[in-house]
Amino acid sequence: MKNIISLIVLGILITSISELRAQFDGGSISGNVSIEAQSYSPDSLRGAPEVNEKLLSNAYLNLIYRNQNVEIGFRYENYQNPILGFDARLKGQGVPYRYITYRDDMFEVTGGDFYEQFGSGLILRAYQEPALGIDNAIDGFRFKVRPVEGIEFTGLIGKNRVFWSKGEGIVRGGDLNISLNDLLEDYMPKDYRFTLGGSLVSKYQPDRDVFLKMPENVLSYATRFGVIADNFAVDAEYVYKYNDPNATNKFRYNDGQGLVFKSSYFGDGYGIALNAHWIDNMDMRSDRNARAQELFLNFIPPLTKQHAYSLAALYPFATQFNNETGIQAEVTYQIPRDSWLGGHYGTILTINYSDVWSIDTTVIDEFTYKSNFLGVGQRRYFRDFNIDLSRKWSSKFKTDLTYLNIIYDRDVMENEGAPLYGKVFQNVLILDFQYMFENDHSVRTEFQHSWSVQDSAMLSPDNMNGNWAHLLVEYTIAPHWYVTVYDQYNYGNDDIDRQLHYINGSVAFLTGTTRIQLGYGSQRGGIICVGGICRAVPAANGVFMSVTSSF
Amino acid sequence: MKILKIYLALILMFAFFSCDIVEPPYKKNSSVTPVDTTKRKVLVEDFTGFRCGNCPEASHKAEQIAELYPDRVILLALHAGPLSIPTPTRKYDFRTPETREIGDYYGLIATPYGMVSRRKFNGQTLQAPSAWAGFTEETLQLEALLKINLTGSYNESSREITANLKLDYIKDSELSHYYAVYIVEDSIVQYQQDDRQFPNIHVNDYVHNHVMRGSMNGTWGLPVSNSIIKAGSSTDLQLKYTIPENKDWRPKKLSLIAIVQNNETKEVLQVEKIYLYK
Repeated sequence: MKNIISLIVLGILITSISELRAQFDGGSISGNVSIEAQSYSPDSLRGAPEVNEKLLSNAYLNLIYRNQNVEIGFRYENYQNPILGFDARLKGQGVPYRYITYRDDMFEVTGGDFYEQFGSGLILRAYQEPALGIDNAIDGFRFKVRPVEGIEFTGLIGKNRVFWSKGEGIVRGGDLNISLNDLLEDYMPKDYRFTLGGSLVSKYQPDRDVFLKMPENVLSYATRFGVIADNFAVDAEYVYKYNDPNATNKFRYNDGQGLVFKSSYFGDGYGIALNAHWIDNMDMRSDRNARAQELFLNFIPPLTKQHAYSLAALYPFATQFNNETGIQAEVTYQIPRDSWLGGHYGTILTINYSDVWSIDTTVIDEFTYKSNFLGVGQRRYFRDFNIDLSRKWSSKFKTDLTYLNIIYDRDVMENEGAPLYGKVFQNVLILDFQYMFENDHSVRTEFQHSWSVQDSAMLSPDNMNGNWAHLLVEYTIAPHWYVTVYDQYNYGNDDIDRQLHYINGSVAFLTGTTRIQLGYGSQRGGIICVGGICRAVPAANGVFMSVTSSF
Repeated sequence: MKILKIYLALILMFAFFSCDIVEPPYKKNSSVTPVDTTKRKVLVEDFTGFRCGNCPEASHKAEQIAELYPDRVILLALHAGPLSIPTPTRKYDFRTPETREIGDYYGLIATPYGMVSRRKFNGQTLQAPSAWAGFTEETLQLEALLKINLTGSYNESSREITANLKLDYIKDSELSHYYAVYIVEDSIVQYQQDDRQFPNIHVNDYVHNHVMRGSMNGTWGLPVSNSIIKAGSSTDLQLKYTIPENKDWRPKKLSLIAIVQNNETKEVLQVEKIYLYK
């Protein structure tokens, strides 16, 4: 309890400090801060483990100083100890991220840590995702040159972050981005914007393998184009990687390749988006022995919709970087106002469909396989068909109705494809009502229900099967207070003893750019995903607190 | 445009110099490496769990390493992590307080991971199985600071294990040196998920080897001495441990692994192993 009080006091202090946005002659300082803490009481039935520390917390502070063309920044991080579900090797505190950048109109140079993305990220993406505990920032040197209008070249060299140290592999990369409209202004149509791009990334790691010959330098290249017009946008990227035997592909010597296609069309009151990709052996890490969420070098943009409602996110899709193909289509239609279906205030219908399969491969030997470019395999990883109907009935009342039908190959997502759980077939229905009172008060309720069956016998009881019901009530006193209470009830669990309620309540206070939330209750274990990258979260019982602020 | 051509030329040069294509055969000619007794022996610890489908492959990797360096590499299987926790249907618990403590200390959240003499490589102690062999070879090149002469015996009537250690220091000792003796059992037949056997991954008669059963003197051991032991000198140590009645250990399958470690860095400086029954 003493720890919790200390954290609350610290949060309030930071709130006060955040009001002091420093502006002075010598430049400006900005930044943001985040503190999350959770206390733990063991609960064997809900799967909440005993935690010796009783309280765990993750916190960070970003501070950026800017003065004319120069920017200096750092991030202090504190995991003492990391909240359950985050990699325990994050334990500790320090300043893992610091940099200095000089930039002008033509030139930019950074020394130290930086994030970067080439194209859609297929070949290189250094990024931070605090919700997952991912940070593969590159510590090194980067320059960007814009020699003429419409051309930008980026070159970099460095090593990726892994927890509190750097990976062994050295990453070298170059990217060229060309805006044809800017470069060839007189020759290009005005209604369309064309972009071209190309990237090269190479990694070096010494070969110290005793049993196998390892390529010390692994090269990959990517090329891309994009067209944007008033009513449509298309872009595509192709990536190729030379032999890269590594722990994620079980040391296969195949080359890798991938193709990503995205398109969208906007009409009067409707929009259509169609995305597809085909990915073979494209899990790139800067260390060939890295696994889990260590030392990512690239990123595959996800094909499936990321659901925010709790029961819709019970079975989230995790991108399979080494073997995956699929499509996603989405249609959004605004039913005309003042029509019988549209109502006076408007109704929006969104239909989304995604279907993800394995690619077509045939094993040749223990080191190689044959892969048919754009071929579709026999195994369906995931399918999601969902409809959302959002309607505002009056100036005070609006509703949201969502239905989902999901097929989830739990073995692929949670057991590297080995047979253990089978597939999950899930249907979810969600009703969301929001009513606004006169005096800036409003109430929102969610009624969610999930029906799910699994096509294999449960070998051992778990807390993630069967039907669920979820009721949430959120009361808001705008603009400062949010009070939320919910109950998730796994009434259909195969194991009668695990047909449990997960009751949770929280209060959030917002002021300016600061948000403070304090809650208490049981949270179910499960998997959370951001952008197709996922982590397992154990169940937790106890008090939780979150403070975020920017200044 | 001239600048653009220079960039493109640079990119092509970059591409030319930065790619190695490996042609088959992919295997190296790995052969048994001659023993150099002036160097350290290496402890390869394998964090494992009976519900971990990839762990048997990792154990196999560890065995391959041990075969490559006979009598220089000692294996220890530490059952820890989420996939070692018994379930209502699979109740056998391989874990011990020591394996859990070591796992927690190194931030183990998944298996298989392992450690090579508990050394850090590129800032990390926990290593993927594919990295073990390379780091083992590197560690085998390090000069030994001491030699461990280990003998042991078992009294069947009292269920008491006795371990005698004679530490011959080749260089001066440090006060941070701790010694620990672990009890290890081989040939335990129990369930294991083994993804190599796809689709029949549930193996009920899997043979578990090098299983850490406990420690005779705590997870991290005890100080070797209160004072510096000079190079060329020795110290004798003795430990006794009575196997509790509730343990199903089979003495004929037990062995002892003695380590001397730097208790500040936890790096294992020397290791030795003997079987209680030859």
